[in-house]
Amino acid sequence: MKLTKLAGLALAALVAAAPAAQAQVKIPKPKIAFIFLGTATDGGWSQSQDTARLALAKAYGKVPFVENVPEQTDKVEQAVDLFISHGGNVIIAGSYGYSDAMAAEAKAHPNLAFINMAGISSAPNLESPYPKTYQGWYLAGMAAGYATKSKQLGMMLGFPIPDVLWDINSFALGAQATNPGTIVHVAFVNSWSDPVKEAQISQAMIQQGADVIATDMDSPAALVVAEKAGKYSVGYQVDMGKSAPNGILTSVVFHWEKELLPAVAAMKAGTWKSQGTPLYGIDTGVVDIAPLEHIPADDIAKIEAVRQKMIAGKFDVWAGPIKDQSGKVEVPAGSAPTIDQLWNMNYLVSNVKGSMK
Amino acid sequence: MPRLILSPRLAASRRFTFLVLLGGILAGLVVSGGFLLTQGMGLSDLASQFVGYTFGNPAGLDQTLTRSIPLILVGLSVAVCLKVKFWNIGVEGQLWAGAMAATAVSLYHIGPEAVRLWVMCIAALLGGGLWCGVCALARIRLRANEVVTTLLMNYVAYMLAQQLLYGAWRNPQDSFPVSKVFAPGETLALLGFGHVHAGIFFSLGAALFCWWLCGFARVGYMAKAVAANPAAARAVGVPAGAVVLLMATLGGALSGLAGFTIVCGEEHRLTQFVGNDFIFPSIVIAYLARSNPLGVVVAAIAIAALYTAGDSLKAFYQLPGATVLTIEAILLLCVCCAEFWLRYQLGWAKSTKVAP
Repeated sequence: MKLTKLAGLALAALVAAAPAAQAQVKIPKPKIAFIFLGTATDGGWSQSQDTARLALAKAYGKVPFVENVPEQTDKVEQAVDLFISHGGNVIIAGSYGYSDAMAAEAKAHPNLAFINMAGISSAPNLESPYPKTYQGWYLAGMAAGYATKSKQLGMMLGFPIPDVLWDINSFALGAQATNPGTIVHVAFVNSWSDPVKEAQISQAMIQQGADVIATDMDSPAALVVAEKAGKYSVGYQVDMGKSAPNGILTSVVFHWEKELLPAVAAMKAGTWKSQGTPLYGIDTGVVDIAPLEHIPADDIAKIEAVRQKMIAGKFDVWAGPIKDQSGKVEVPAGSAPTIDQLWNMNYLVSNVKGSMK
Repeated sequence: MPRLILSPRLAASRRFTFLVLLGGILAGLVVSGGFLLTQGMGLSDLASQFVGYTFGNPAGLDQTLTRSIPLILVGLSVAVCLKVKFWNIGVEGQLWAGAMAATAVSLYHIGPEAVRLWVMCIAALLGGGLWCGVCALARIRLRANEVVTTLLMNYVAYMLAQQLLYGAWRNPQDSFPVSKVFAPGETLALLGFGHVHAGIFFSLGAALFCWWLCGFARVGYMAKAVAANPAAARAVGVPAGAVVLLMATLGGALSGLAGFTIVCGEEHRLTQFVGNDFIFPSIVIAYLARSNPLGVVVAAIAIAALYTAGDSLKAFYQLPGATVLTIEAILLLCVCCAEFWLRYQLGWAKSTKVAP
């Protein structure tokens, strides 16, 4: 006990004296652990992360996890401490609301590596990666634009935070590109997962005339309703085709393993360095779309052409001009926002109907 | 032929009471252990997770102690109310009320900054006290059953908190349903051992105060009289209604204080989940401690340890979260059953021969 305390003090002194010297974290024997927001089989958000966990388990042996950890500091810290006290040295979590807790834990354990998928905090030993979801949603928007007959789409999302606003805005821009005049009804659910409410919103949007329902939520509940009503749908996080086999156009999917496998390999080699809050594009495969269905083959070819341009880095979703709902120019013609500007997005584009409230 | 008969026990000695309680707990542990063995855990796993990790490992001990801070307070809350036979099923609502009151003080900058933390503490006490006091008043004046009113007040507080978090108190930075982070001066200091914060002094202080109040103060004595027989107490001049109101308000204030320790010691803001999962453990703790305030401290730490062990069962043995609840229920049932022997005794029927 005394020794641990002494060692702790020495460590604290070392950290205080040389904060920059900790830039690289070497984990010769990775013992990985996962913290999920939902259940590992939720059919969406956490399941996409669990796929990555299984891939890591194949490479590094058993990877323990805890499910249903709420976005509450003490619950997250308890889970992290639990794994660390059992020898864990690579802690991987996956939620925006874990950001503060993960930052505190990373500071308390400077020699361990932390990754928080979709977080916004970073430290020399904490990285919060996120996919450029807007690339996938733009392509999905194109598909929805081709599919819609009523020129009305519906999309539901969790909270109006910047990286969620990307999704609705890029979806609307994609639809606008293939079917000018298409509008997107938007609803914020004020939760990451609330299947009952999602189904109700889906129903309401269909009654308003939407014939494509897209969900940015952690469950396929909205798609099930759309399928029953004979409408098209777009899934998220994993291929949700099973929930709506007759109406699904595509799903914007995550492949976290394409980011996490190289990251852990780099930790093992001693070359890993936190990139802060990096964005992984469709070129890395961390984000992509599931195979397109239920639209004509030549439309699919046009979407695929844009996808290839994105992969080659020759297509920017946010190329101006982009106007917000009030008609104010957010991105002038001939320019594109910087990453920092994207992280501060606080508007809905002109063909979105509804408010951020 | 000799016959076994059950007869009421008139009085149980203190020693016997203690032994019965201990026996109940031991029986509960044995049954729980058996239950876990059927869930695929080995004996050595049980020992390492339940004893080694929860108390022997610094991280485990840290979690156990940090968790016990609000658990002691909600346990005291139920225990104090039970002293006047007032069933407080509303610790979550009172905890929410306390947490909201403390948060309001922070958000609206009430009181000078130097003593802001103390203002938050007093606000939490008042908030929780009010939440339970109203129910006590309803019982005294309207004969409303407190089991129902305190239970329903949980939902009122929870909905009010949701309303605030999705409305006026929503974090302006990212529209997330959490309040703004408190200023550093508005939080409880860490004590240098993991996440254990100064709230532990509030918990232990509250336990000592309740022990004094129930055991040595005049009010405690009156409470005993009211609990034993309200009509008789009133007849000899004890203000029964006032005593019930006072004890119930104190109980609510203790739960409010638990809310204060969570928002100021752990979360440093109001979140959507601060009041979750306290009702059942609070009753188990008060019951295991037989409403003894110092016993509550021991029982709360034991239940906290159970939760700590439960976390690692979830992570490393893939047991569901309900496992901990199951064990709590087993313990409670065993102690309840053991108490049977405090009121009844088993003996041989004395047969008296009647001459033909």
